[in-house]
Order: sequence, then C-alpha cells, then structure tokens
Amino acid sequence: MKLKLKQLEGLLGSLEQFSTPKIELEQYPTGAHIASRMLYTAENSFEDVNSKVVADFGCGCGTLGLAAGLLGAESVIGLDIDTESLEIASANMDELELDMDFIQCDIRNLKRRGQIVETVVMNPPFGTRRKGADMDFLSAAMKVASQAVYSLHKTTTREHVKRAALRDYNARSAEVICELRYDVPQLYKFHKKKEVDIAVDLWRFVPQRRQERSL
Amino acid sequence: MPQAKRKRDNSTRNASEYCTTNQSNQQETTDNTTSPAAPRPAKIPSIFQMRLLTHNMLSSNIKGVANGFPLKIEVVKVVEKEVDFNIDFLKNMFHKVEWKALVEASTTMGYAELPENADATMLDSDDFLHKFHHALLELHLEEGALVCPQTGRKFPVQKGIPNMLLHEDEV
Repeated sequence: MKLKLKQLEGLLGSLEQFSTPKIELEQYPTGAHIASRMLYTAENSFEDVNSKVVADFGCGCGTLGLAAGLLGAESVIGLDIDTESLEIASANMDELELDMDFIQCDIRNLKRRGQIVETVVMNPPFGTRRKGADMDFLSAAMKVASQAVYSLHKTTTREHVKRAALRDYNARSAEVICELRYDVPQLYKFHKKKEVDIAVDLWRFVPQRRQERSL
Repeated sequence: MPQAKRKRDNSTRNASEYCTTNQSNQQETTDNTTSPAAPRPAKIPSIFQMRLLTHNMLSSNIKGVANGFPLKIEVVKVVEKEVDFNIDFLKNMFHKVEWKALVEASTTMGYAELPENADATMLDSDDFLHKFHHALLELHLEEGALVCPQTGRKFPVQKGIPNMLLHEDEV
C-alpha cells in the first residue's frame, strides 16, 4: 500500500529535531512539509525512491532519509559529521520502525567507490556560514549517485548552482522542480526576527552515466 | 482561503507552497494539513546496524592512501536481522557490489556460504540469491572496527555506526 502525501507528512511531523542546533554546521531542521513533498515528488514523478538505495547527505535528524524509507527505499544510508545528530536520527528510525544505516563522516572527505547508490537526497548547509559548503555537498553527491540527486539551494544562487552542476560536477541535467519557502525558525541568538522565510529551490540533478563496473 | 492561514500558523519549521512541476506554477497551491497524522508506531528496542552493503561502499579516506578498499573488519559483535527478500533489488545490486570484498567481509562476520567467484548466470539460482541477500542485508556489525588495508588505521564502529572522521593530519 502506498503512502499518501498527508500520511507521509504526518509521520515525519512526529520526528524529534535538534535539541541544541550547531550553527557552525548550519543545522536547520528539514520540516515535515518540505521533506514530504521532496520525497513524494522524487517517487511519484520520477521513481527515484522505491526499491532503490538512497543516501541522505548531512542527514541531521534523518528526516529526508526516513521519508525515503517510508516510501519504500530498499536501503537508506544517512551520513553526518555530528554524533548528536546521528543519535537523534537513530532514535527517529526506531520510532518509525524503519531500517537505516548511518556513517559518521565529513562529506568533504568522503571517498567513493563509484556510483553505488541510486539516489542522493539532501538539505545541505546553504553556505552562509562557510562559503561553498553547499557546493561541497553537491559535488560529493554527484559522484556517488547513479540516478538522481535531490537538493535544496537558495533561490538566489540558482544560476551559480546550474552552471557549477553542468560544468564542474558532471551533471547531464539540472532542473529546478519547484520553488519553496523555507521557514527558518528563530534557532540561534543572532536571529533577530522570530521567523524568516527563505526562498529555496528544489533541484533534481541527473548525473552522467558511467560504465558499470564489471566483476 | 482560511486553510492556508491556519497552516502557516501552526507550522514553525515548515516550508510551504508546493508545485509538482515547474517554477512557472508558483501560484498558491497550498493544501490543507488538517488530516490527522497516521498512528504512531509503538516503540521498539534499538537495533543498531551496519550492513555489508554499506561496508561495500566504504573506503579508507586518509590522505595519501591509494588502496583504501576494501576495509578489513574487526568483529566485536555481529547481529542478524531478517529483512524482506527483493529479487529485483538483488539482481540490480549484484552488478554494483565488489564481490570479493563482500565474500571476505561476510566470512569475517562468520558467514562463509558465499561462493568465491560469482557471475550473472548465478542469479537464476534461488539458493544463490538467498545467500547473497543474507550476506548483503541481514548481517550487521554492531560493535567492532573497520581497518584501513594500507595503513592499519582503525575506524571504530559503535552502535552500528562507523566513524570515518579523520584526524587533522590525515586530511
């Protein structure tokens, strides 16, 4: 039985989020609303989730990866640098009775072995604290995905993202699927307003096919 | 459209506006979020896992290491867990995994049933597929370490999570 969008959003809405977010890692929770739509589109418009191996880069509390699991991904792997995030993600995995593997690593130093996962989903740091952090994630994701990379980037960086993806990261196509409003709650002290809306693009990148490894 | 207002009010961390196709379709297609959430599943005890599927993707990432794959496995605790059998998935994965690494890892974990060499014709055998399935998805390293084949550096695995973070001088 396939999950409906509402059910997916409902399940994700019950997940635990960062208790003490770390600004240096630009930890912002991926809301249930945005996460459910991202993965629902990936599955229902492009068939990139069900029965696939999906990796969640910078998984944080695991929302996107778990959404993939709920939509029938055969295997989900969450990668994050932060111990605390991985603990919360593990607890969330238990809560949903799903299976997910985790790897603690720095995405920048990830050593790949070809395009072994089909799909990467991620809500990368937007690169506002450390310039280029978003592009580091995209570059790494494009190296391991064989089918598609779904990512969120600030709408103000649209041209830059497109150019970099096609020219530097071996993308066969780079498409904005839709523009979303990302409501950033007042998490950190330097936030002056209670809540800020950021315009973000939901991207779908398709990597070039590489030769499949022969045994 | 009172629904839209309501949604905005009760969501502090969510984004809104969803359009299925293009950015041309940016008009408010806000849907209601009032339907009740699906029932919460009951809490179950934690199962920590690192499957050999994941092991098969990992490579030592220390600077200067040329042959970082496959990582050797040091076993402290292995757990087994049944998962659903999916033939199409296995057939697809067969072409992606490094067979020798999988055989070696599986043997280290105490499961020595995989043939030394395998080719695509074996995918017709049910027996083979079940063994492949078990090794790839059902064997979990819960505690132990992954060891860089070139330098011997150990990456600890605790509660099923391999820690591949590098020290400053290894980057």
